[in-house]
Amino acid sequence: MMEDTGDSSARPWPAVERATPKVLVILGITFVAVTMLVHSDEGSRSPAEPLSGQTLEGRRVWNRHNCNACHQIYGMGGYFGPDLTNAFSRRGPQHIRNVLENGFGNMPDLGLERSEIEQVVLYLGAIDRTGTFPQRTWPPEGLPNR
Amino acid sequence: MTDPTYRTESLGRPYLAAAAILLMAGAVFGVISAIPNAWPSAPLPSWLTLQRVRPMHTGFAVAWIFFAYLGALFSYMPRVCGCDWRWPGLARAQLWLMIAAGLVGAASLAAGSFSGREYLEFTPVASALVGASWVLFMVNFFATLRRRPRPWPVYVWMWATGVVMFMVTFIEGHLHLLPFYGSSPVRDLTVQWKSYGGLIGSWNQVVYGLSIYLLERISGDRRVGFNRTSFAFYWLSLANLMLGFAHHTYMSPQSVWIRNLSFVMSMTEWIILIHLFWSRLLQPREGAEFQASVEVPRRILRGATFWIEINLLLALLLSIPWLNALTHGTHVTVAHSMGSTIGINTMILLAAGFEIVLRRRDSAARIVARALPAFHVALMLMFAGLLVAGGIKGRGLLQHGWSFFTAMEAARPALILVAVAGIGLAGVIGVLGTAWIQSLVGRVAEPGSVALPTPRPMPAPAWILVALSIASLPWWFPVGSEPPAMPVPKATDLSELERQGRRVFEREACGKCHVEKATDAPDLTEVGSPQSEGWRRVKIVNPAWTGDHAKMPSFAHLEERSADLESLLAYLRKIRRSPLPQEIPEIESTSRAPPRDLERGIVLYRKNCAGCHGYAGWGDGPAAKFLLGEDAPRDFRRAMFRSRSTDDLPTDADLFRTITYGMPGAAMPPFDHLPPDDRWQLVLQIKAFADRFEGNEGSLVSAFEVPERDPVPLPVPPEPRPTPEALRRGALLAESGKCLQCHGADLRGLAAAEHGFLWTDESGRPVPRSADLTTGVFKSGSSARDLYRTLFFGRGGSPMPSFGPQFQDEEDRWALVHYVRSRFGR
Repeated sequence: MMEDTGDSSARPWPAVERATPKVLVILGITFVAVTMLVHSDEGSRSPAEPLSGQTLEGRRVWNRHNCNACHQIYGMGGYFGPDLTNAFSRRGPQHIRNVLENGFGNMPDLGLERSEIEQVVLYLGAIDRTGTFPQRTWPPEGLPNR
Repeated sequence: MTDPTYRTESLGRPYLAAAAILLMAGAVFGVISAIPNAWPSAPLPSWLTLQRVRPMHTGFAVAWIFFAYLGALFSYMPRVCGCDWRWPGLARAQLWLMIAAGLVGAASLAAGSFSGREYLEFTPVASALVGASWVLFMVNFFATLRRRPRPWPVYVWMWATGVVMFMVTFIEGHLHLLPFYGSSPVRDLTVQWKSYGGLIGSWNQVVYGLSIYLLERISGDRRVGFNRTSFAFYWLSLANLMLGFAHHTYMSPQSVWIRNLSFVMSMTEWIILIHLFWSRLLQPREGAEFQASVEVPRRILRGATFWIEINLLLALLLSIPWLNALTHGTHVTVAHSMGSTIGINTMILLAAGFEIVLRRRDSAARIVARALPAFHVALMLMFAGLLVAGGIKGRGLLQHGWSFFTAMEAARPALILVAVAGIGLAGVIGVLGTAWIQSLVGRVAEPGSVALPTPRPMPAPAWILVALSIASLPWWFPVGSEPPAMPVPKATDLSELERQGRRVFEREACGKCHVEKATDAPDLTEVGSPQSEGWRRVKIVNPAWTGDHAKMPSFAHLEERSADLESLLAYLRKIRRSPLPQEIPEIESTSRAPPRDLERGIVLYRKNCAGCHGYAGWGDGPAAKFLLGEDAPRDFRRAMFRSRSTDDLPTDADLFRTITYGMPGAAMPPFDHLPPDDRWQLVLQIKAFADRFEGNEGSLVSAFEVPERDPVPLPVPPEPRPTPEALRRGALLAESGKCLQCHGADLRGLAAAEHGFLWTDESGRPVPRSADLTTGVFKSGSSARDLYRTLFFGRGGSPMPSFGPQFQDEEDRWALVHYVRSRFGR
């Protein structure tokens, strides 16, 4: 094996290597532009209402108890429990309350306060209003289909 | 071996030691995570729920990748740059920061305090420490890299890019902490998964860079690092890192252009697939002397080649929109991530790590060479199991509309395969990790010769064929439209409606609890529950309305699919054995209510009673719409009660008795699971709704007044022995006393509409049928004493009058009671 640094000047400078900084600049600018566009994207339907108050609290409860370990939103999350994107409209708020209060099957009783349960219900309601999952059309329809 | 050695190469060794430990820990937690998926009823302690174990598994696995790649970079950079690390002290500070981050993160996970971001579940404090350590690393890395004049080989570019992009995407992944992101679910989700796509891309840059560096060392061909194809591959993968978050966010309701961009970007990877230039370079070198630190990485990388092909193929298939729609969020995604993190990243990092730790004739080489085939077999089985499980789940859920539960049951055998293969894989990882650490600390004897078992390589076309068929497993694995058989009660001779009901019973997996008895749910064919159909309707649609009876989840969606609900109820009627006559135990007449606890009474009432009787006791709770006729819940304002030992207002003990034992054949369930004190508080609460109770007179309906005096029960004289003579007499009295007029000649009850009756209860709600007396199942009990009270003290609010005035003679009264009881079961 040759020593690494010794021969680099002896050989012609490969064009691909020489061009790499330019490629990086182009890619970097594109990346920044796309990132800004994606971050400011309001979604394919009219902008959903921003979460606030109790609904935002519900998101905190959801995060604190790591619901994502088992459940998914839009198919992203764990694989042990069902996707909850549209649980609010498909199963109803009472069902959510009931499961949270008592646990169900492999779902443990998380010992939530009554107010926390209501906050999670509100949060899932807000998620529900952002669209439907699963969608079987391409591109997926943004509007909820009840 | 003419490489000069550099003093600061050893900076990588503590990282490598930690990496091996993290790898083994990740594998152990992976096995624990797999257990509840394969065997849901496995008795895992509450501190090992998936909620806690999964972040441990992913956290340790990701930490392994970073520690191993840092270990490799610290060891290789001096060789590549031809100089020592610029600031060794900074590298040590970085290590301590990372250890602190790991300890804080692991402690927050162990304490069950989550930030809730998938893969970043630990506290943001740990994230801040990781970020700080990375700043130190970037400074050190670029300061060292400046010493190496260009041109740089492609792997150096890849390392530099990966190191920077990790910082960028790691910050992007924490933007949810800002309200601008946190308050918008769609933006939050899109940015989160965009950042994860980029973050994985960033470590792939470093790891793939390491693999190209290893290729260069193994083949001894210095052109590898300046190859045009390698650079094109690098640019393309970088574009993918930046723009092709692809299948991650297809499903979120973002703008369509984002999806289309991701799609076009992910499709460009097909170009990469065409250039499988690896295996040529991975041939053993002619006539070269055996070197463990070359031969072992060579073998590991050959194995990784297969996993690269198969995962690239799978990722490309998953990026095709309609295949993505079918597999998204199923175990196919898990196969994709396990296949790439274990099959590609871990393999390459193992190759790099062993290249560093193995000495020329290290006997650990033999252990690694022996363990490798087992590693591949275990990973292959796990990969195939995940693909099949995901295929079953995705198609069951999306194509056939199965419930999640049904789909998981159908996928269970595949998930068991995954768990078993995972246990095997964890074992092999334990062997490899131990060999790694032993070599690192130099505990292995260096024997004179090491003979490695010779693998027989599969020809390339066969490899590609195997990869193709495994990657396409989810699509050719047969999944019928019928869900897997769910336990159902045995029943023959079903009508069309009842058969439809049985399908609903199967689809909703009712049998998992009610037939297989996974829980303490009642057997629906047994006499156990004598409650009415109205009660079953309430239990199915929303068990929470039944208060503490709510062990069952709600099947509220059936309310909208009323055909399903009706057929299910018809099926339940069919499989259910007729309930037997139910005697209600008497309450000790000396029992008295304790002093009233207003707050407790209201809380108990709201939880247990309000679902049917309404928050203010008006008999108008949300469940009341299902409870018709004699099932209708009492309006407590009227204080008209069916079961009582008086001829008007019930005693406290009467109400206590009804609450305790319920009303057989009606919707009122027993509440005997509540402590007696709670039941007494409910008695007092119910009385407080009606101003007819003494102490409430003149007040408006008030939930706060306490009735003062208890009504006095009327005596029931001792029951004589029933004789044939008395029964004959009872039959005559029943006819002359107009019993048959309402209950029919056979006492089986009549429909009001057919016979011109207009029966209503105390609130004017229609009562469509009179009771079938032959069942012996009565709201107020079927004992002789209870029948006597029903007949001659009357039933409050019912269309049935009191026959006390009509039958004054005690012998006549008992003759009627005995006659009715003699008709039970006829």
